[in-house]
Amino acid sequence: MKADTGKTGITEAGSRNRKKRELRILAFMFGIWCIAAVFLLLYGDQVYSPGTVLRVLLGEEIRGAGYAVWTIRLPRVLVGTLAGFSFGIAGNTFQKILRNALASPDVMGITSGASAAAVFAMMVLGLSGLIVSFMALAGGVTVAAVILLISQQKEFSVNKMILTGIGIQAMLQAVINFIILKTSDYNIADALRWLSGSLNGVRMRDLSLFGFIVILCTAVILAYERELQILGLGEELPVTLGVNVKGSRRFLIYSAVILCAGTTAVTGPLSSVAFMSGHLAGRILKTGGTGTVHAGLIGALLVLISEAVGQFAFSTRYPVGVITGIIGAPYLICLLAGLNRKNG
Amino acid sequence: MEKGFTSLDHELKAEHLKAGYDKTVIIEDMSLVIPDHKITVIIGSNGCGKSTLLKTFARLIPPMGGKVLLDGKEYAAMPSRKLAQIIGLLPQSPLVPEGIKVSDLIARGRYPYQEVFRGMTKEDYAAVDEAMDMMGVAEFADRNVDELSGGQRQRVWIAMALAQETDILFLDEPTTYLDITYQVEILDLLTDLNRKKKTTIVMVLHDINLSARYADYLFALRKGKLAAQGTPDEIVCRELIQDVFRLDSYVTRDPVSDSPFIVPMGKYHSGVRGKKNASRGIP
Repeated sequence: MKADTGKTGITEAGSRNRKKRELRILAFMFGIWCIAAVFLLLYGDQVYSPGTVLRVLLGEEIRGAGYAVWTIRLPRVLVGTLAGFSFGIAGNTFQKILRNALASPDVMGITSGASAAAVFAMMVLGLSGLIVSFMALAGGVTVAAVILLISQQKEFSVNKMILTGIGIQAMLQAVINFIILKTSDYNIADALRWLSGSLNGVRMRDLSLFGFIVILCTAVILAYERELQILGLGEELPVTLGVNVKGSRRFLIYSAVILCAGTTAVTGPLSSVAFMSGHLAGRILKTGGTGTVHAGLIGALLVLISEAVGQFAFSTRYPVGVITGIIGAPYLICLLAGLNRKNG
Repeated sequence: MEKGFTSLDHELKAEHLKAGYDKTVIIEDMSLVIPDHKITVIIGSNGCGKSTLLKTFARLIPPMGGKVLLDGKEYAAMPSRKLAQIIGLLPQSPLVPEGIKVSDLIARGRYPYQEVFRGMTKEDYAAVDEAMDMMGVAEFADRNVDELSGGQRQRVWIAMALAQETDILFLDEPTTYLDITYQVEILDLLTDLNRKKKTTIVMVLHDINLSARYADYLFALRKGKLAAQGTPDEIVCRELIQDVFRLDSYVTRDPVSDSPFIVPMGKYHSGVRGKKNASRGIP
């Protein structure tokens, strides 16, 4: 009989408790997101009262406020949220599959691939609009495919994959710099967006296709949630537990790549968001779960808060990508120091 | 009545197996049958192909030639998850996801039984509870795996393999890195598993004496070939140790289990035995 130890039900109780805790954390993060979003809607060149913003959102036409909210602030909040969410999930997925905090698409050159393709399309080919976004997406996917191809020679190796990615990242960064320097008569402000990332100039019409891509890829990643968990156990157990390793790894990686490259096409690279979100999510959750949605929300928070800081904290306005980059660099150093301590 | 599952009968064998990595052939033309519901240990010196053999049987590497047959069928012809309900593996050094709790890690062994978007079922929870009970890790259920000692952690991994409820379980050096106390503990627990669940256990071990004590059956490998097979009593002798390990030894009986016991001879200290035995009247 099952009652012989008094220990039965312990697994279910434990996992239910942890699930509840995960949900509480999620609710808390959502709370902070709401505050950040409301702040970014109210504040700007002009400060509007919550009532005014609410009336505008409900469709009332108010001179000045209507334009500021619908054309500038709301798209900024929504695109910023989607971008952070998408980078967060993409980074987290990479880190979980490859079991390494450094293995994030921004460290491994996938965002650079998208950026380089976009810069090339705009400045060398003179293109603009949707085709640029499409080329950015293609650039990201191409880099991912090249990295996968190289790292799958002989036996698949995570370290080989990360190092290949870092190499490609450095190379592409040089390409981006080269193109921008060579075509410096072009609008530098626009070009800088592809270097660091910015929410300036995003519009409501950017949302529908972008939102669709983010939702679709997130759904695929969530459907592979259990495989993502098992892939964290090493190279051997996933095989003997019956996971289709190659297939699920490919689905997960390409979904993350499309998220990442697609977002880069809209906002630019927003450096370090992908890399920080997954790691932070793991630190906060401490359950060994995948924390996909948590990482997404943390990404969204990072972007909105950095945007607020970039807009209002200094006398000059900085694009959000500069702020996330400034936060990301010391974060990376601390992480590396921590890793060294663990290994040493 | 024993609760939970009992292992089903299977026939697992290799026929003219050729195996290795990339283009390096390590095992050539090996045929053997894994004894069902028994504890089998594969012994041999480093590089003899014992790990390769284990990995081929655990389907981590495909055969380069010949066949591995489970109930007459090759692995490639069977659905992956179905196979994962029959054959399990505990690798030599699996990775612990950061911050994972003991019961959550063990629950990952339930993967072959789960469906997309459907959480753990009652059966899944029951299987994890039972596995934790059997391996004596229930008291750690909600602790972090990285906080546990080596021996406790190894019990957690075996519990995970147990939660997978496979009929056959392969273990790649499950006692390496462990203190002697935990080596014996792990081998006892595996024997429990074999006796209670009838699970077929196949493992690679380094310690010949513990192998001879705990194994029902031995495969001794030398340079990618099967040097001998049989029960420890049938095959463990001075000639075999010489042949397989290139080691001169003295074979006696284990005073505890009465299984064959190997005392290695080296360059030094070998005079003592002769003198002592002579003084005790042992030839």
